[in-house]
Amino acid sequence: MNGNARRLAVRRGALMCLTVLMAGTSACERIVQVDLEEGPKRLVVEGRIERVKEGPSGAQAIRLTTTDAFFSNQATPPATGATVTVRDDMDGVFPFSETAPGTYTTTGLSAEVGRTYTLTIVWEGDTYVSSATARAVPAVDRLYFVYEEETAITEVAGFRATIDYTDPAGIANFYLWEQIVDGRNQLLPDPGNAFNLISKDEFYDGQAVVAYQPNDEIALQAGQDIEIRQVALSREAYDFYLALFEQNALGSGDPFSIPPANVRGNVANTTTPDRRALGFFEAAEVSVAQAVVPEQE
Amino acid sequence: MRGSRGLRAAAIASLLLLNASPGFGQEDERYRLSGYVRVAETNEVIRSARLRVGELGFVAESNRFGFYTLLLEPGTYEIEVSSIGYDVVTRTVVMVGPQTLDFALSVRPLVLEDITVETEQDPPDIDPTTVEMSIARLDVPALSRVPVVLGEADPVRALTLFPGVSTANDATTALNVRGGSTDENQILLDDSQVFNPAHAIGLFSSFNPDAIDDVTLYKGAIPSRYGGRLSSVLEIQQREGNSREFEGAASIGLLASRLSVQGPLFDGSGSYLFAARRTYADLFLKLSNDPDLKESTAYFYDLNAKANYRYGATGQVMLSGYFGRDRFRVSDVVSVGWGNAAGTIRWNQGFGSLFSHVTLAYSDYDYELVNGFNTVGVSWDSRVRSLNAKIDEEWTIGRGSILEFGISLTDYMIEPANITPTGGSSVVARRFEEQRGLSPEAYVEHEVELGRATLRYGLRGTGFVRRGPGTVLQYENDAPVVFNPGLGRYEPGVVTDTTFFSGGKKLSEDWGLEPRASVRFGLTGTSSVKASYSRTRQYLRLVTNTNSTSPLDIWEPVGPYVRPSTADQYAVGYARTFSRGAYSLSAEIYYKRMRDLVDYVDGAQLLLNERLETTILPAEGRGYGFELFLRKNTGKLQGWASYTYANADQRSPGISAADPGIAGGAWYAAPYDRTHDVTFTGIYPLGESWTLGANFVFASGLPTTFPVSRYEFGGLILGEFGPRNAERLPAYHRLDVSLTKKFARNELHFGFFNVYNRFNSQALSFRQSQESPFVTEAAQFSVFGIVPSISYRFFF
Repeated sequence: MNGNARRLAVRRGALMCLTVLMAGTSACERIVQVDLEEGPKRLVVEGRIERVKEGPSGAQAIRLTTTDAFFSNQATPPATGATVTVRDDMDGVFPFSETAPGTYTTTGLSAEVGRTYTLTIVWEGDTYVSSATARAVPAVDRLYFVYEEETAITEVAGFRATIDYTDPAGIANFYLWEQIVDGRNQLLPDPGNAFNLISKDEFYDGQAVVAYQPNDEIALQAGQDIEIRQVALSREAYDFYLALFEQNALGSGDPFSIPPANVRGNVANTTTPDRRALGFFEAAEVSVAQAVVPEQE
Repeated sequence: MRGSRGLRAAAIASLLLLNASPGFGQEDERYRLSGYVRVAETNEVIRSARLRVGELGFVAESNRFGFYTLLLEPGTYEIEVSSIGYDVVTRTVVMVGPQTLDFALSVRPLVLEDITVETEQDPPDIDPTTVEMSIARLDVPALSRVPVVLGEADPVRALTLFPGVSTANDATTALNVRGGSTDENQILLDDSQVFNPAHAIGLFSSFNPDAIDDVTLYKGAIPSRYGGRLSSVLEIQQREGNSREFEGAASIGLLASRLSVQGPLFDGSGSYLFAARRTYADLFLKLSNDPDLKESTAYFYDLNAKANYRYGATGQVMLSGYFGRDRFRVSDVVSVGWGNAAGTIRWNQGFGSLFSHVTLAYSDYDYELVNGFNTVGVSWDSRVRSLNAKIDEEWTIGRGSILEFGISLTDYMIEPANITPTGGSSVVARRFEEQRGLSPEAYVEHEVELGRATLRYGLRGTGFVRRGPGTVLQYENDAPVVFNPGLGRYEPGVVTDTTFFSGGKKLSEDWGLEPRASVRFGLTGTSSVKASYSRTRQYLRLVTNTNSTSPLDIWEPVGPYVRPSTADQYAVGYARTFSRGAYSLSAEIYYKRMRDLVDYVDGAQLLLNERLETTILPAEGRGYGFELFLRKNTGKLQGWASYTYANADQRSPGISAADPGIAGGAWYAAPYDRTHDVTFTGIYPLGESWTLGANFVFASGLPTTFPVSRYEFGGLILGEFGPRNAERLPAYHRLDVSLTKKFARNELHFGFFNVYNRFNSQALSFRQSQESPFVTEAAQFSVFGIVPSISYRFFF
């Protein structure tokens, strides 16, 4: 049970009620032009050091971008020319090199559970630091596909990726699921979808979870290659993703949404503390399951 | 203790005044005249009726139970009794000994054919002859002539047409009173506090207009008998019912149907009232072909019941109950339901010049949410309950000198969350720890007339004792919240120890005094200046950081880490009637300072959080404003106009000097800060049987926050925001019109809410486009466009 239950329930309840009540009225939304002031440019960090439970971890990548004018409506500008290094707590040093604009990669580094990794970035004269400890993740026990008929709630008929997993007892676990369809990560700007992508075991500690659909709004087509990545988050990372999804969901105009607020990450600027970086750096064990969507019977 | 000097001064002054009051020690020279003011047709009591003793020129008011007391020297008097909506009654009374006398006033027809300004006028709620100020009193019968949204007359929504009262948007009936937040209003239905009086996610209030006859909002100068919330007291009384004959009314509207019946009990020495209301939108869902919609439901209902029995000249026993419930279910996926239950037993009795009431009140609010979305399906419920016993006394000491005093004890019990798995779910059942508290209260208040001045001063002492069982966590450096300067954010403190308090043990206690004082000085017979000061304290807060309060918000009592909030309000006003009472006017300015409020840190998770203290920063608030209210009481066109200029700020400087608090610790606009608010409400008869009603509202837009840049994370585009609440939404305005056709036994009501279909932006979102992931856009949302309504009402 993640924190979305209320949000979903009340929003859907409210929408249902309002739809019925306001049939024939012109209550609606409209897109407007707003003049905004532009704030200072900041560094944005998207970094995760991984260990894949089921096989080789491959190359590790950290993406650095910058903020842009709110209505810039263009691809996110990369932060190029940075020096990126990760150190572990056993004196291991792993330099990253820029393999594409804003993308910094290294090979030979795989996160080990319990070990703490420190990220150092030097960019445009400022030094940024963050650290993260890798946490263990239980395996995806099973990945399969459940067909959902079209209804007012399901909206689009089709297969949904469905998993079973067993939460380890006695420890607080936090999860993120990534659903990769034909090689593309499907994280859509859809609040209803986003809130199923993270979960904490506060109310199901140590239980077997059966038939969980982390991405129940995405209908899959026969023959698609599906990869589900179950990522162990820290409590901090979970809070970060939750805030991220909540803020992204504000666009629905939901009267029960929270007011806009800045999402604070975990990357500090040690040169100019006020010019903090945005984004998050984490280290995690990941369980990966793959399957092909079957034909409908 | 803060304010102790003021208290001592008040105590000394009270002693002096008690001695100086004209009636004191002269009791034997006067006889008591007391009784009820009633409606001639139904024998129901009339509250706040005005009694004027002709020869002497002084006035008294019937209390909120319709009871009055006058002390008169032997002689013959003309007593004139008047009340809004009733014909004036004058009776000659010969005083040769104490006596009991009831006055019966006839209902005046609402539609006036002739333009005549009558010589004797209704006492408006902005009466220059009483010490009361900062009050909005609703004329409930007139409510049916005023345009309303979706044809549902809503007494709480109608209060927003008065100065100093607003809501965050059209979708809610939670009031912001004089720059206070929505949880700072004590809502009392027949003395029982109602925790969440909202239907349909807040669109409508819980109060069925058929069942109530008095709605009084105290925005300031709150009488000492009331407390518990910082900003206001909303007192709602259910109707007593007709004790002369059976009467019934029913109405059919687009949204809901209503039925009410009333009649005599015990051969006319008692009466009852029963009213019910239910919506029927869910019946249309059943007609749907979609299996999910077919299995869905959406409705609310209300049941109001009241019965009373009168004995002797002044004795009365009253039973009152309210039950309301909402239920929304979407297929078997999600269901949410909530409701209030409130009950009151009251015994009123006059003992000579002492009027006594003993009240037992119970209130319960609960909600349940079932989420069967996936295999971590869960059902959870939450509840808040209060049981209150109190004794209130009203002693008429002498002419124009009344002493009120009372004691009260309330037991609170809050169940924040009980979690149960739904079928096949892996969720483990769990109950969050209950929160229990006892709140004793006592007050004394004296009102005295001194020549052209009237003075009312009182003192209220209150406390809140948190009782076990309960667990209290200890934090490193006693700090449940700590600031991380490197990351620029607040984080939960480090738990160092846990203490368990067993049942009945005291977790924490808070005590405080609330001085109140009002003074009126009559300038002429029809005008006066008034001033007041009141301190209020609040021991329970609604835990919410969403734009609108939701039915799933829970109440959190004060405790080891949350201090009670206090407010000090100062107000000065001028009231007058002119053109022989045809118009009444009031103008007030107020200043309000609120301390020990709470604000939530960015990213605070309030839902299912057992350690709320880790999300809370101390905050303070201030507000000031100017309110103008003009009412036209007679003639063809009746109605009122109001203007409010207001400012409401808040500040959260953080825990220590090292951390920035919220918005850098600077004052910033409260989310409900409405600068200008203008309203007009009018009723005009069109010929014999038609009545035209209209409202016009113009208000400044509420504060909002704009982004200064955007960034991408995980494919999502997020805004990075500038200063909190530094910008404004566009101004709000709308016109509502209604037409009522009255027949002999029935009436037909047509209404248009927002006639010119203004797009009133009530939220502004900066968001990532769903079509094109690199495009960001600004979207405005409105709640109601033009909404037509029709309803039919008949009497039997």
